[in-house]
Amino acid sequence: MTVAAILAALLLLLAIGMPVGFAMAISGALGLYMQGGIDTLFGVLRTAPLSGVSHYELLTIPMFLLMAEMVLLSGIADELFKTAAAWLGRIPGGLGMATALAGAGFGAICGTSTASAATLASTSLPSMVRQGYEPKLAAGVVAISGTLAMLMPTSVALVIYGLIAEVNIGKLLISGIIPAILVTITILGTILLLVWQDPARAPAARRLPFREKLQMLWSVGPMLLLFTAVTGVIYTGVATPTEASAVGALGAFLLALARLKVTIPRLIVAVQRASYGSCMILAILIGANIFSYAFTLTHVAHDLVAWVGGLAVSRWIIITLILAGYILLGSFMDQMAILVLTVPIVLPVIKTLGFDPIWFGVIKIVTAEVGLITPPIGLNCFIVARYAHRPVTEVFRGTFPHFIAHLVAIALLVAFPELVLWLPSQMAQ
Amino acid sequence: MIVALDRGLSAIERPAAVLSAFVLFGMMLIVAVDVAMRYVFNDPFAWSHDVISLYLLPAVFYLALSRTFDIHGHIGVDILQYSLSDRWRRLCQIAIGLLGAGLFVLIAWLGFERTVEEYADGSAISGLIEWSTWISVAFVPLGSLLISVRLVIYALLHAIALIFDERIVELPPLAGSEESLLEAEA
Repeated sequence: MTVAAILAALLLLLAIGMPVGFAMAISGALGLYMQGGIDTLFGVLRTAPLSGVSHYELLTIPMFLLMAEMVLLSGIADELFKTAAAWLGRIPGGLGMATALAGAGFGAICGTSTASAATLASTSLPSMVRQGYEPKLAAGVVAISGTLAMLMPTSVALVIYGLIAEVNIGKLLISGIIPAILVTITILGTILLLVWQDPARAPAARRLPFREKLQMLWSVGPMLLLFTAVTGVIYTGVATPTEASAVGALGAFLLALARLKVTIPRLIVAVQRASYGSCMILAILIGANIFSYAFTLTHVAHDLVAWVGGLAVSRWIIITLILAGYILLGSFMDQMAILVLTVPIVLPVIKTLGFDPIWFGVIKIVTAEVGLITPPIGLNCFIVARYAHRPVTEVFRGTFPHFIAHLVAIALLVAFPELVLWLPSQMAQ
Repeated sequence: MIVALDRGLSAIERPAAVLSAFVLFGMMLIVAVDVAMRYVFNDPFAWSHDVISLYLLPAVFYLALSRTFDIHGHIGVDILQYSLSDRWRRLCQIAIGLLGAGLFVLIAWLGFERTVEEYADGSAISGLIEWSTWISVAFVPLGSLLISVRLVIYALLHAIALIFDERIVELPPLAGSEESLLEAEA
């Protein structure tokens, strides 16, 4: 009864458009009152609003958001694409591939996919269209390449999963690297296939002198340095992910300073955007905290685990159904909301089935990538449509081949968990 | 009068949000210098961990909470909103404002009680330095009170828009809409 009331209240509040964090807190508060009375409710509301924001590890989220803002301020993304385009432009579909590589490179230092999509849309998309690329193909590549940021070691989404699932965040961030490479290869392969089907979709760009290409490589140097500063220190255990995120943010700030892009008003705007983003995420985490107290009292997660454990069905069928459910949810719900709403319930089931929580986190994030390009609310498609001045339906059609290719990538990651777990297993303890 | 209240509240929210941004930038400097002090001079700050988790993180969150709502920075699920008329969407905003205000008034009140108790008890976290906890707890009622007032004003403005003059406040932009993307760019 209480569970039904909590879920009904949550769905109703979400349906009226209430911010996710507030909706979870209110429905959780209702559940606490129904399950434990007024004392339980007051007890949780006295502590959760502060304890939910006073963990040192939470600092990783604002620091990665700040790093992303500083990277955007530095304008390095433009040069990443230009460099990749100079080296790959002559290959059929080369500018599309350059976009995917710039997306991976940019994602490696800016872990938010919407920022990545917006940046790629304003830099690589006009170049591809000018080159005579089919707009549908160009827009699809940009939308999917933006999602790569979610798998990189600066991924805010992975940090949030790590905090909710209580897994080692350093290992989790590192575990995304090989899947990110796999997904990048998947995108490159899809572009090649599309161009092979119809070469007119993506004409080759003009040839650049070798000397010019070499010079352009210099611009990638600071990006590599920043990527190494963050990933290297996490991998070697020199610093915690929290410390690495702050060092990365400072590095990105110094990069923007060195490129003479920093003015006081622009800096304030950039830091404020990081502050608003952090506030939004922390509000969701506090709401999820209150909600999970209520859910714990109902013993639903425990009962669900017992029920799934008693099923005479292969665990591979169950994980396939869970992932299919995630892709379906991702087509109409925000990824952050999906993470905080489902992980506390689904993760105990995953553990009972004998799957690794770090592996599941990465797979979950790849399904989230798919959600970002799936109608009706695939956010990256809307961002690209806006920048490209194209109908959003066209962008969705352009991402469809990548949607199919991503399903193949997910199947590979599910079939071969070592792809996710090998790199973190090599880390210093 | 409501419009004047709205402006008055914005006059508090904006500097609070700028302060939140300064604190955020400060945390970046503290942690980065702390790491450098540890590896270069083998002499890390003894206070950074406690100061950040106890005071600075709550400050960043609660100082920006209300302003983030005002700029539609808290994400929601818009799927049903696309199919609603403007009139129904106004009603939804009123419900969001009132229910949200109810939650945050309760949190503000309980937080205020806790702040007073911890101040009276002289509660502190022991360690190399004793950190008073009431300062940290005080951010909860402060930030929650601000957003409670913001939510009440929000509900009232949408009620006025529904009954009298819809120009007084615009409906929040939907995800993927032109307005939301323009807002994201801004």
